[in-house]
Amino acid sequence: MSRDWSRRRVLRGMLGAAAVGVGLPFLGNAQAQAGGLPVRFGTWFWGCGMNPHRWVPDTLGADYDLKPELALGLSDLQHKVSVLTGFDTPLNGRNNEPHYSPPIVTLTGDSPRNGRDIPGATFDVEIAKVIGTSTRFRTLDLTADGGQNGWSAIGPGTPSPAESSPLRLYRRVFGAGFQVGGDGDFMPDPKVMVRKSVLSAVLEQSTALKRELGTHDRRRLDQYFTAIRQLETQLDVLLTEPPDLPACVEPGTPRAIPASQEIATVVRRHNLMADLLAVALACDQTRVFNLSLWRMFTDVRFPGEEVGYHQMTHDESVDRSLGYQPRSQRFLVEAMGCWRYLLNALDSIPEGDGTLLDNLAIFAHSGTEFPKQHGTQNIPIMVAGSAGGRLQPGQHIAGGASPISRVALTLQQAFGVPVSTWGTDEIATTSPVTDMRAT
Amino acid sequence: MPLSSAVRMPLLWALASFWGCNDASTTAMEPEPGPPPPPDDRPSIEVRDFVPGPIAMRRLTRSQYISSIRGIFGDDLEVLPPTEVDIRIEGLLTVGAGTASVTPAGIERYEAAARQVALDVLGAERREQVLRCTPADPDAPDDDCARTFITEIAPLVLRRRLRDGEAEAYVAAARGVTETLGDFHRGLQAVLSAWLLTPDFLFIQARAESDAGDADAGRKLTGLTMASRLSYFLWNRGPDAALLAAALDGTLDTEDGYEAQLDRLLADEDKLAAGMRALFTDLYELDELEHVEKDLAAFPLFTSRAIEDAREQTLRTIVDHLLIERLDYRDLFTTRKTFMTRNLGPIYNVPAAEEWAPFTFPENSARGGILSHASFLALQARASRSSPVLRGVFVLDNLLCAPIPPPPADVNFEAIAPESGSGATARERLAVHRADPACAGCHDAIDPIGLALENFDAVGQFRVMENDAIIDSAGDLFGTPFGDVRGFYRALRDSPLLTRCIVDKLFMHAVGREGVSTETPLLRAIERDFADNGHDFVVLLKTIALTHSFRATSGPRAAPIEPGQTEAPQ
Repeated sequence: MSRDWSRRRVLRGMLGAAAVGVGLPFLGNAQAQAGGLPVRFGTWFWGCGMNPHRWVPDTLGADYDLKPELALGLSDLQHKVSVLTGFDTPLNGRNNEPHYSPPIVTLTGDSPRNGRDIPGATFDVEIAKVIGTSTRFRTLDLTADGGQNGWSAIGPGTPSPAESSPLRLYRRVFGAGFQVGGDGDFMPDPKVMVRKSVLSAVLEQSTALKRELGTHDRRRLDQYFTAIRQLETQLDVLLTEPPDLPACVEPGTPRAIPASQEIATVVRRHNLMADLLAVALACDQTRVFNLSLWRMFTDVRFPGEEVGYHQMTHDESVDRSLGYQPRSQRFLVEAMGCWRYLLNALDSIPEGDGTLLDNLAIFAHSGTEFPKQHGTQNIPIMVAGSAGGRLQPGQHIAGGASPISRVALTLQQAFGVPVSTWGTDEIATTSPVTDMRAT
Repeated sequence: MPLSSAVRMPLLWALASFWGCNDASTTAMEPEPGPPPPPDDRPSIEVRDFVPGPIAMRRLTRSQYISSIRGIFGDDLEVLPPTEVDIRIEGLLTVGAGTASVTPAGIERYEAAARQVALDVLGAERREQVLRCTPADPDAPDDDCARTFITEIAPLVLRRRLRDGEAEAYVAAARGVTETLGDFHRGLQAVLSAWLLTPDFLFIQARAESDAGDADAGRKLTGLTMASRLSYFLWNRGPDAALLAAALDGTLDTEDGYEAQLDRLLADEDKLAAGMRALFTDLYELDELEHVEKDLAAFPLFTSRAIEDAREQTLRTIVDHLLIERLDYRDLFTTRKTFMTRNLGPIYNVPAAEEWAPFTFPENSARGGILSHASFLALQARASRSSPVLRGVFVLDNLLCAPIPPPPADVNFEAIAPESGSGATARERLAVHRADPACAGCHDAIDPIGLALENFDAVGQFRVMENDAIIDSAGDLFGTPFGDVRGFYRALRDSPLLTRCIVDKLFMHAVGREGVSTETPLLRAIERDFADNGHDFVVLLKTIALTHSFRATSGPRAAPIEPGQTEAPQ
């Protein structure tokens, strides 16, 4: 690189935009360099619930008894995963939109007005505002079944688009611009500086618009500006020497797996995403993620079957001798296998005295309890990891029919979100689940 | 155990002629026109003494993003759409665009897409198409050449006039980047990618004149707003240079100037066809076809090429019927004329040439109108079985604007599943629904529509039998009885809801929002005008573009009230 380039000149050149933040050390990287381990948060969703009598443990607290469906997902990691039962999603007097209302209540603290309504931001976004500001990606949203978005939304009616292909996830995180720290020859890329100055120019030219707009549009323009600023942060990270993280090993390029609703394909895509996600976390590219295995009305299917999972849960009778729907059950077996795969991927990366999983909390949830009935009570929840010692994992905690918002409140508080009451109307709570916390 | 399709096909064709005798389609009657009301009482499309609905920016849909860029830089430009989430409201992405926003993950994709477009547009291969000058030194700044590009292209991308000093700011920006990277074209690429990231480009902006206007008639929209409105409504892309010029020099503010531009846009067959293709793709959710997965073991003919051609078949039929032949909109639901290719031939079980060619289904065919196309039938079905409910709900929601509430949360489908043993055909199984009063309220409307189309399987192939039982497609559409699927097409064609609904949908598409109550008389006037003009779709487009609602507004939309607030924030 012999060209005489100057970062300052680029920034002056682009409309004289103020030089913002380039080259400043960032809190997160500084922290990691100093040896403090970052804490992370994630959510994991699977559509179509479970069978309560094959899921809910009989005993409370640590060393709870593992029922067959939970056993599939936890096996030897039970001591790192809490199971929460008996938490409900009140509807604030609105209709139950099957499969949709519970996750929306769970994540936004409000009940949807129809099957497409997103009443507000999801709480992962609030946590990301606290722990995700210094990493390259504030959050990574992923869907293994090809869905264009998962559950995360930045505000009312505004879902975040998700990465739906493992290969694109790889390119986005580990493609152009990705650098492993510690090799001593870091050099900021002038092309990234140009990209950053482009954003400064856009911001500069667009502020004039705001004065002319009504309140509806001003709010959307604010979201736009927030998005541009987050992209600036991303570029700042690329212009800063990356920290030397021992657990960060650049992965090889994965093979493309074409999208399909065929179950084996969805499972492969999920597990590849889980592997890439684990490295992305180890390399501190993000500290927040949302991974959806398959959507609420999922059409994943086994080859040769007439209908997919969701339809099957409605069509199939419960086998009286078994006590469950045997054909539908095969999907839950796959889902819990994926959950176990993700946990193992995260637990296999050593970090500090423990593993990456220990420095993480993953909130796993579904859209219903027993899918045939679309209940809004006893929504299945698992919380994996101890968030760097803030949570006490490995317990069965019973909610006693209290609102699920208590779990969201507890998690937000664990990650430092300044919130003492969360949710609206019947969903509102000031009462965290204290049993979840480390003592 | 289903027969293989190779065995099934000749059998079905033998039965088809039998089935053809079973037609009772003539039962549907033209509604008796009542005496026309006195002309003075008729609501008029000329009316301007009401306040139309609010305006809001509309975020470009994926389709508009691509066509806006191609509209400026050429239709052969490869544009990979950044996948920000499009939202459907009232069945239309172009209405959801009025609330859609930009997320951090979305802007990351927009930025990557913008850089790629800039790289391609100003790359060595095609830069001459857009750059009318050659820099003195390709490795050094050339302000004059940069200025030529900027003053010509920026207004087309931003869909507005450049502000004072803005062009010079871009010239300086291009210079800065060129000096940094030692490449003139990279300087221009940086400014082009900046424009493609602005809210001016990503959102279709909407402004009213600052003049408070008439309290009873709302505020007039600005010339630039009208240029974008017209262009996205009719062409699904941003204004071209001539339309932009008419907005900037005030021509578009005059009645004559406005109508001249409107007529010019309507007269451009190719661009109008592109606009209508986008509209009907949105309306019929044809963009979802690319995600359709069928059980290939059961439907080996439904290849990805057949899916692509199925969509094209429907769009060609619509463009030919509405824009080229200018036939009655209602006949789109009965016409036996369509187009065929070799990929589609096997699905329709007809001989077809390799390339697209016009095709007419025989008179006794069960095919007629676009609802008998494989595109619609495959889309509104499950992976390996038809779905009378999906089809019925779609027709009610999207074609008749008679939306059906969602099913109750505790519904149990066991009794109607094919495994239940409750019946060989969907009709027998669905009878369970209609015996239960809680279900019947909706399913009495849904099921007859879906069951009328039961002669078409999960990919739209014709069939006479389901599980060895003859399929009965008789039913009624809001009280109009029909004996088979052709009778259904006619009943649908003759339903007053069909034309009312397309007027309402097209209006929402045009203004990018739902109608407000003050606009109801206008909508009914448009409907009557549409009928008076033989349901000519091009006339309908023009009528809507001339209405007060298309050209004026109550003002900017207010944000919904957030929980805890008592009124909208200012």
